[in-house]
Amino acid sequence: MPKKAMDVLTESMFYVLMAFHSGPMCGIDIAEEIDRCTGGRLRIGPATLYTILGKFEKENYIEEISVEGRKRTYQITELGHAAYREELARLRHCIEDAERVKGGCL
Amino acid sequence: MSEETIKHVHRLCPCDPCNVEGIQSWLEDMAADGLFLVEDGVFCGVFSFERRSPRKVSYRLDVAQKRKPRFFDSGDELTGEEWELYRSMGWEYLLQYGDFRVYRSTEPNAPELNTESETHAITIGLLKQKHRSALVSSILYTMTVMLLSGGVLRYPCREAATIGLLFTVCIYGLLLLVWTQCLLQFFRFRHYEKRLLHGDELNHHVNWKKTAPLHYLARALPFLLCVGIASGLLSALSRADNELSHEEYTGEIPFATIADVFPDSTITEDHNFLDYGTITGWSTAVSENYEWNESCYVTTADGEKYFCILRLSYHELAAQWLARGLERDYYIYDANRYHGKRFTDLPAPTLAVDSIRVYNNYGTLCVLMREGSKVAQATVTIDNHTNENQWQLWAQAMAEKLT
Repeated sequence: MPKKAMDVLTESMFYVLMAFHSGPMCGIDIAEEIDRCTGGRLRIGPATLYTILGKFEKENYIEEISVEGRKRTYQITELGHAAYREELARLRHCIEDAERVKGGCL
Repeated sequence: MSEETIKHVHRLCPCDPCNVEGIQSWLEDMAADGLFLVEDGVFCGVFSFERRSPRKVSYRLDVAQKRKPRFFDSGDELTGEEWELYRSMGWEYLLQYGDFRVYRSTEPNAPELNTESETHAITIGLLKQKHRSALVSSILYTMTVMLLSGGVLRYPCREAATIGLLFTVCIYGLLLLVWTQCLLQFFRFRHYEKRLLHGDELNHHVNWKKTAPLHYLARALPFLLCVGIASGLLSALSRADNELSHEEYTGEIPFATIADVFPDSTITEDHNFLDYGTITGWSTAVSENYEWNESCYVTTADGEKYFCILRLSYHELAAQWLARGLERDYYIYDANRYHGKRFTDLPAPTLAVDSIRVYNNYGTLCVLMREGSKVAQATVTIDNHTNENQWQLWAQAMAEKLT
């Protein structure tokens, strides 16, 4: 059974939410922030980024706070924070599980 | 190469507008042949290209949030910020085609537009939902039209006999084509979505040539069907040219007229009405058709006087099942003609024909008769001083003529 998007946050979604912890941002800022955070390991394609922003706005994970010219700036909501924290906890559990298993952490 | 020497060529897209993989592959193959898609260079599925030196170019289609209107407006415009981000990642927006925006990149290291299959599945899933809604809407709309209105959708045998088989088949063909296309588009997007959710990216190098002939045929079909509908309508309109007065008509009359009801009587035609006293004959692929309009005064040999009106549609069909269908269509059509108001079935006499129905339709007495592959539908008035419609006289004469 394939998993549906938003059942769990995908890697890109997780990093987009992470980027908002540095403050309100527009699409270009988010792409740069993720590039900086991951040291260039994760490059999010523009279509993926705008799909995630659209989806997050619909799910009330982020909200638009200003439109300057044709630049839209968003900030994370409490719901977005909660989703981020939940995903972070899940990932921590994954790491802990891997570390507990003998030979699981190389 | 200078601006003046750039040659523009136009090519019909060999893939349907939902075939993301096919269109991307085709555009890339065109670029490899030296044909580069120009900005806003698409109209009705015809793409415009500039001819330059061949080089490797990547093309990608991404779902637009808003479908581009066919003739006006530029549809789902990119915001300035989006322009900047796409450009900074090496992608150039070219045009919108149906549900998709088309981008081009000449940079070999440009990241994909969609770098995550699950996220890509979200937008493809939205398109799938949209096309499912379109399919359901088109079926519901057609059914509503069929239920609420008269005409070809509800009375196929009647229209096939009177207007023509070509017209009827083309109308149904067009409907079937629209439904099939909606269904195919829905299944295509469902297939894409499933693949993306399984972690498979869309393929950018498919063999679009394999399905191109089928696509060209699918594109030509609506035009051919519309031509069929138009020519069917034109031929139906031209049947008025066949209208003759009773005096002018010299052929054999295959049905009963007032003269057959009252042989050896004096008949005086009443021409006070526009088309009374006329006969029209025409053929379609499934039927030989006549319309007979008669209004007259009759004085029988024993001095009895009658006022008669006969409006008759008579059909000799190619097969008995068509005749049964036509009889059913006539009955349903008449029953619903005035939304069922003042429609009453009357007891039919026992006559030596396959079927006879008699009904009062908004004050008009109608007789519907079928024998073999022949069908007659008539409104009959035969009044004398008793003021009682003696339509049975015509029904008897018609049954004898048919058998």
